[in-house]
This record gives sequence, C-alpha cells and structure tokens, in this order.
Amino acid sequence: MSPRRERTAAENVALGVSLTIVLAVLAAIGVIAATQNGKEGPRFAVEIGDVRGGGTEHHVQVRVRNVGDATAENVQVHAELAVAGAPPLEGEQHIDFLAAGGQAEVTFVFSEEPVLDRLTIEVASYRIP
Amino acid sequence: MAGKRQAATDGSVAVELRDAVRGFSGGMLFGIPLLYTMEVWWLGTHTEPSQMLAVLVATYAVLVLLNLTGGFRRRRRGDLAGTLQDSAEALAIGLLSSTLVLALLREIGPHVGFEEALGKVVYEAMPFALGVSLARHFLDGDRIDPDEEVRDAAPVNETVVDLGAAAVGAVFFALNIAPTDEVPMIASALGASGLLLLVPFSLLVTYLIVFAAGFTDADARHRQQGVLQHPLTETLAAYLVALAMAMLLLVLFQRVDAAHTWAEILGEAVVLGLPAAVGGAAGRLAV
Repeated sequence: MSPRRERTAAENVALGVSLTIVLAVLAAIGVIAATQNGKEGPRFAVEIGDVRGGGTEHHVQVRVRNVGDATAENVQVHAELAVAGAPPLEGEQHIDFLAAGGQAEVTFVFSEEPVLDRLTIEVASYRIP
Repeated sequence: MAGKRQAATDGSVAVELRDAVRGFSGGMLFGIPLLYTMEVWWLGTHTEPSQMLAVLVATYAVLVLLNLTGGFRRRRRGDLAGTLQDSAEALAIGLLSSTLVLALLREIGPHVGFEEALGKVVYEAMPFALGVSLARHFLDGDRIDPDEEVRDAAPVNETVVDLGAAAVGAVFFALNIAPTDEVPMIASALGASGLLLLVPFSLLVTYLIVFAAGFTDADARHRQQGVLQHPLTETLAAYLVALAMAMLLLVLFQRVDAAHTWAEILGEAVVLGLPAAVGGAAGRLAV
C-alpha cells in the first residue's frame, strides 16, 4: 500500500473556501425553510411609475411586486382609464412568473392622457405554479 | 531551506489555481447550454427549500461517483477522502460559476427575490459542477503531436485549422440555442452595459479554456507559429469567428432580418456569442 499523500497548504485553503461556499448555500436554504411560516401565498403591490409620451400615445410604467411568500404564475395585470362621456380604455399584461420578493415592470399605452385619479391598475388573477 | 519551502508553496498555489481554472472551464463547457434555458430559470422561481437541498445532495452524489473515476484533479484512485473533498470543491466551483454567469446575464440581481435567485443558482450549478468533474475525462491530454512536422512546416494551415475548428465548435454549441426565444430575451434585458461586460467575459473564458486550464499542452500551444497563433490574437480571432457563426445562425433561423436594427442584431449575436465562443474553444482543443 502506497503512503498517503499529504495535502498542501494551498489544497487546504481551497477546500476551506469550498466548504464555506457550500455551507453558506445550505445555511441560506435553511433560513428560507425556517422563515416560510404558513405560506400566506402571493400578494401584490402595484406602483405607477413614469408617464411619458403625448398626443395619442401615453406610456404608463407600472411596477408589480410580489410581497407575499409564494411564487405566482401567469399574473394578469389589468388597467382601466375612465374617460368622460366614453367607454373606459382598458389594457392587459401578463407576467409569466413572479417569485416571492420579485418584481416586474410592465407598460400600458393609452390614447388619452392618463389622469391618475381616473386610472385603475390591479392584479386581476394568477396561478400557483 | 526557507527558499525551497517558498518555492513549494508557490508551486502548490499555482497547481491549485490551475485546477480551479480547469474546473471553471469544464463547468462552462457543460453548463452553458442549460444556462440559456428559460424553463430552468422558471424552475428556480418556485422551488421549495427541500427540493433545493435534494438537488444539491443528488449533485454531490453524482460528483462523488464521477470523481472516483476521473475528476478535475490528477489524483490516485482509491483515495476516498480526497474524492469527497474534490467533490465538495467541484460543487463550490459550480455554485460560484452559475452565480457569476447568472448575474452577468441579469437573471439574478437586486430585482430578483433571494429565494428565486438561490433556486436558479442551485439548479444551474448542477451542470456546471458536473462539467467541473467531467472536463478532464473528455478533454485532458495533449492532442498536439510534437512529431507532426506538417504543423511546423505550414503555419498558415495551422491557423486555418484552429479557426476552422473554432467555427465548427461554435456552430455545434450554438446550434441548439440559436432558434430559441432566450437569446432575444437575454439581449433585451442586458442592455448596452451588460453586453459590454459579456464580450470581455466571453474572451476571458475562451482564453482560460484553451490556454490556462491545462486540458492540452499549453506550452506546445504557445509555441505554435502562424499569423494568428499568439494566444491573445488567436483568442480574439476565434471569438470573431464565433460571433460570425452566431450571426449566421441567427439569420438562418430567421431570428434576425432587415427589420431589426443593427443594435438588436449585434446584441443577439453577442449573447449567442458566449456559447459559440465556448464551443469554439472546445473545437480548438479537439484538433
């Protein structure tokens, strides 16, 4: 039987760094598992951002954040702009996946100027993946 | 005496660095295709901690099996403790590599929740880590025959052979990715600054794979004669070939046409250029 080769200092450092990385990932997984209390499911916060453009093309940026603790799939965002004396202008957007803590930006385009107190933007539906 | 010890330490550090570079290079060779798969990104968005743990454990188990017969280090067979340690290092390199490339492609970052980011990193680390251990199995050894006089006698042909191999490897790697929606998705998400980072990263990765990872006799490659045989010029030339192949594939698969702006076309070519360049590097190793 040949004698066992001693590890060099550099090998030990590499192993120490590697174990630290792997253990950090395991610890992060453990923290996520420990903080998942009861799964309240996805919840959404909708923020209206910049409005740009003019004339017959007004772009409204909207940020949708999932402030719940579970991923939502196929999130449907609905926008409605009330127009005096005419049917409301409507728009829809879909977000494929929105993980807990994640956010996505979508943009709605209206032909009328989007006065904010006449603009309603909300999440209409989603699926649990 | 102290000088000898210092030299030994320097040597072992150099060996350790080369092993890490070889592991990273192998990870890139095997991990890139799965990186351009949006279904894997989505998988990361809804992965339970228990599933992440299962993926890590399964990956580690496969790594141990691989390292028992090969691995990214030259190690005597039957050294179980060494195999377990190498497997942990391969897993760590896989985790680091996938984190780095996912961040570069903006699939993780401040805009992504921590749980989602961790899920993506864990899933993408799997092929990277396997690549770390598989690389030496497939790519180790000197493929340059020192007695082959034709290579010395015809330096221009040697250049043509290398660039031809880079083109074939680039097509081989990028062919499956070119028709997918991931390329324009990533290109549009990256923006100019992200694309500017991707170019030097692609060059660095291909340089490491061919000239620094020790898959082939690096000295022999450095000695090659020819108009484009200096490591830096060869890396640059091979990258340009990979970009051209990426562009060609995008046109062939009708992903870009005259309706696209030049910025869109260039962006998609740079995004597809990363797997194409890695493929080109693999192709150059194979000749």
